[in-house]
Amino acid sequence: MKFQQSQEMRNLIAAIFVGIFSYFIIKALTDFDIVPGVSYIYNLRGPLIAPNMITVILFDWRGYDTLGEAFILITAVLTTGILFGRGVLGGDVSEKDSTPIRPSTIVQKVFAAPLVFIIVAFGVVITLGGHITPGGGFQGGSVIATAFFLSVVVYGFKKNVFNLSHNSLETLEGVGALIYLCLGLVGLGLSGYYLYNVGADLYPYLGVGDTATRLFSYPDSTNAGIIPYLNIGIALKVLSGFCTIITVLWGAEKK
Amino acid sequence: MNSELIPLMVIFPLISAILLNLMHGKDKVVRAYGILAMLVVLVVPIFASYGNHLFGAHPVVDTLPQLKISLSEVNLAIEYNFAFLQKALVFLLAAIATFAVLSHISNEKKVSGVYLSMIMLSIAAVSAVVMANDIFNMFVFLEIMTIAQAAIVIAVGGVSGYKAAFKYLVFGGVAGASILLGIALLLGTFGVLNISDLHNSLSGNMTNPIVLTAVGLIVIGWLFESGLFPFHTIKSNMYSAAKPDIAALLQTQTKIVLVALAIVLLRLFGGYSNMTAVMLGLSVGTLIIGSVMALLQTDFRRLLAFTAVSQAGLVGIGIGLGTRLGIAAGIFHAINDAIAMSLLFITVYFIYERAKTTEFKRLGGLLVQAPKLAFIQIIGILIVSGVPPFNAYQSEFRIIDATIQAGHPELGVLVILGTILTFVALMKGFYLTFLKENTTKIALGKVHIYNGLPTVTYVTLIILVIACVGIGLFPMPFYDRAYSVALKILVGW
Amino acid sequence: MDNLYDYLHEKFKALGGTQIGSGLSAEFILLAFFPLVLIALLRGVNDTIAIVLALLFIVAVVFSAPFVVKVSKENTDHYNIAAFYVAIVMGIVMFIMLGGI
Repeated sequence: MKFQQSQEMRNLIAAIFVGIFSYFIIKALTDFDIVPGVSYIYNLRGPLIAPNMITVILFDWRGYDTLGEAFILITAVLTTGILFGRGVLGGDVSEKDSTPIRPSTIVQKVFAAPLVFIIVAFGVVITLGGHITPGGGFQGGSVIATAFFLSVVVYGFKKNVFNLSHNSLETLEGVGALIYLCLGLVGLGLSGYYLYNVGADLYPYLGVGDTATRLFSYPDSTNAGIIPYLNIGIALKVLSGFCTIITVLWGAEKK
Repeated sequence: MNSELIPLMVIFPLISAILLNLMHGKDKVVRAYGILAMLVVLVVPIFASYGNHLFGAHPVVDTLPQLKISLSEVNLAIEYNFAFLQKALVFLLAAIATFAVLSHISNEKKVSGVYLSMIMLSIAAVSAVVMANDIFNMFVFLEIMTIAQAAIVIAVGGVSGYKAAFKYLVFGGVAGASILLGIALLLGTFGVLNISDLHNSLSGNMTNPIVLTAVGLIVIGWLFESGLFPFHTIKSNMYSAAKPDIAALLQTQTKIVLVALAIVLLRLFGGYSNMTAVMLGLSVGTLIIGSVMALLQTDFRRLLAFTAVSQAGLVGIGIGLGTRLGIAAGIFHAINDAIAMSLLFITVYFIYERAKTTEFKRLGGLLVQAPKLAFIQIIGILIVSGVPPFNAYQSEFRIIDATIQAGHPELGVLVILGTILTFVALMKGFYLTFLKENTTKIALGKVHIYNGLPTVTYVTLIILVIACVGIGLFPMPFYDRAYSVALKILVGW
Repeated sequence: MDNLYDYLHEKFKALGGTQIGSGLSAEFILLAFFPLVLIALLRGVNDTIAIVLALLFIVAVVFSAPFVVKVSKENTDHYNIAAFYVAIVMGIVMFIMLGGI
């Protein structure tokens, strides 16, 4: 009883202090006018690269931050894997293959397959058109991942449309991340600056060379350079990251 | 001045992390690639020339029409700086990490590629935090570091590791959100993310309540990343749940991030005395509570974990003083103490590997079985407690000097008390492990420690002792550079 | 005073296997710590007040000894204790930054 009372008292005190904390933050957020600052310059010069400004900021001006964000996701996926036994010290804990808890109905089985293909096509369109239309690698990858979820829920792991094992998903994720990292290295090798947008060649005085510029040219009105390829890398990584997490969690449910 | 090797210090560990993860399961390949990658990680910071790197080659813009900010020139790219301090910190990290990787490769029967990949990710993240001159990029890599460190602890397995990592991630979420909100407030108010630009726009703006809110939020994040007072139990739990060789790496990373973030805070808001007062006060609390808790532990790993936390408090005291002497001594002590605590953690790693336990009631009388280890450990204890010929003496003495010169002699007394307490705690650990009569049946039956220790680990210990003696005898090259960094922080970058 | 050892032994049972010696040294450091912090905080205001309060504090601490048991109870690995202190420090830091103490 005494312990409980002191605990209640503590909760009250903690609540008061969190209240003070929140008060100051809400106060700061309410009287706060935004200065565009550097984003004004980004918006001024961005259209030289590609029409979709969000993609241009994400993959060109702050491309290195996006690399970091992608690696947060990779780290989280690997951590989830470790939590369920892949790569723990003293040997891996093997995963169990599992089937859906409830068998799917005929309607689900018939309609899921075409739907999966439509969703995948939609995701591919979002990814490849990321620099012109709203969208990009993150969005496209997540859309394709939903198709994977759907096929896993309806057909189970053994017979799903994608037929990807945990290991091949990991490989896919690695390939996606390596595409991003190596495209950055191309810029480093040719111009001396990491993640330099070689194809768009915004600063011609760096002397990248015509051959290299043509290598990354893209049939568009404006030349987005390496951005579409970065989008593909991110899409592969996001897609396989989400799929790995669902694979791991699905296996864990049965244990 | 563009330096092309700067990004490689981050990119190469990232690529290695991906490759090691893909190689997971192929034992020989992982071993070979792990050693190769660590060699590259060690070599790159030595050969990289000083300078800065602008990612994407976006330049510093000077004149643009209708610029909506008050600055005359703005950095468009993410910028990395690389100077002596960065070189020293990145190399220190690479050296301790090399040991962690080598000890994993040479001591485990089955090498885990994922585990090495996590170590690589944390190396990359901490190097990026050290070099970044961009506050948002710094945040991104702090998040990677937090998750990777939690993963390293989870990989050890067992309930205690899971609990420690869970707490670390939950409070890491709180601290990360706090830093991000602080950055968002600064970005919204000034429209720039580059730290030099922010420094220029902040000068004379320190009464703006939104900026002050941002200061508070980022300070809370700093407390978490450096394991100072409310977060000290979380950090010490992480250190004690990890394997001791990895705990050496974790505490090195904590101290490096402490210094890197504190430099950013002082550069941006150095003139604000309330911030340095908060930093100083919580550091003093961490120093004393950390060493008191270290004394009360019954497990050698937990004892060292709390000692590491209290030493981080000592670094915080130096930096929190906010004077030239204090900042220089704090940075210097961070480097010295990271080396010395790594030495102690590695000696305990020996005991942990051989005896499979570090509880005091099951250890005892190991002096006969491992005299060399005992000798190295007593040297490590003397180093951490600040005994003259070694490096920590040089920096602890300067911290005490700085407290007195800054007009806080009480803090000098507290630092001395904390150091004494650390010495008592570590000697207690030494006594109970090596000198105490080995009486209990469990101890006789289970503990077999002998001198046939892995060469890799021995060589590492000797290198660390040499580093400690070397810096202790010739501190001026390091201290002078730390002092010039402190001058730059206070006068302007 | 003869049974001081027994008294402390009884009190330190709560710490779970800690030696009396280490407990006592920690206790003495804490005895020095709190008055010194108080002096460091209040010295700027008034020397006399600082000294008087520090002395009073020492007396208070002596009567509530052993203090170290309480300190170690507040620094365990429990989640709720950590969360409690984090909440308090978050509030205090914001208050100091903006309240301008």
